[in-house]
Amino acid sequence: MAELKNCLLPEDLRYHIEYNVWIRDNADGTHDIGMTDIAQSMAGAMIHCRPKKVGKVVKAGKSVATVESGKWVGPVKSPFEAEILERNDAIEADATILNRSPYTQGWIVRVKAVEGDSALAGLLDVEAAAAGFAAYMAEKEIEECIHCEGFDG
Amino acid sequence: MDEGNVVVFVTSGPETSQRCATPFYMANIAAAMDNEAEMIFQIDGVLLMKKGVADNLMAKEGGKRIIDFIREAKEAGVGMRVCSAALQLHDMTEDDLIDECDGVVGAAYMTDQGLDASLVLCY
Repeated sequence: MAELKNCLLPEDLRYHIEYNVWIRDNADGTHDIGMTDIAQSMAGAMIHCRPKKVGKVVKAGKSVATVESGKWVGPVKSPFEAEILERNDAIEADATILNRSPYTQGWIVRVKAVEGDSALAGLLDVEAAAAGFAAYMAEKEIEECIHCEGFDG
Repeated sequence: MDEGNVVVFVTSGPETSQRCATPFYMANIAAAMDNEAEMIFQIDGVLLMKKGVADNLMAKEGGKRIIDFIREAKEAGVGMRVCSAALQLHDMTEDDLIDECDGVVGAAYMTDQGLDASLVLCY
């Protein structure tokens, strides 16, 4: 687990800096997409998360879910064109899971990359992501990540 | 529904400030869901697009400023246009409008947008 200003970045994930998301390779042709620790810290306490419907094909850069918090509303974007295979109903019932468990219970959608694994080539490993997020946090003037009670890292 | 187009008509202005945050929030959400989102300001709504008005206006005392709702919606890609007749109503010109405003439109444009929309919201 890499750590950057109290922000955790698991080593088994890949990342997209601008969209502030992680991608997990499930090794069965599917991938999970979720928000990073940095994203949940920036958003603050989550109020709602609405993933898109199963079967929907989302183009690269388009949203797989919409998130509302007390101080932010916006999309969770997919870095690659993907078909949504499954959505995490638990986070629609309790969006604070995204704050408490951004990397495990807080996966948002399970997808299949339309172009296969080649679509994932532009994603960053944890080492490159740490450098990218350091610059991102400096630009956004984010001092550190904030973890709520029950945060499971 | 997503990936449609949403038009938000805003006729409320600073005198009913409690009605002035929700339209931007809903437009922002619509854009975040990959819809095309446009706000059209009529009657007292045009005052929200007037320089300086939204800077210290809040829907609730101590809450987020309306100008911040405007900027967030703009950043999400929401279009913002004002009604030409409402400008005249308030003795305003295009020079009075904030940078976030995309321009002035007439009644036919507004009618067309409403007819073509997947969803029309009015505040």
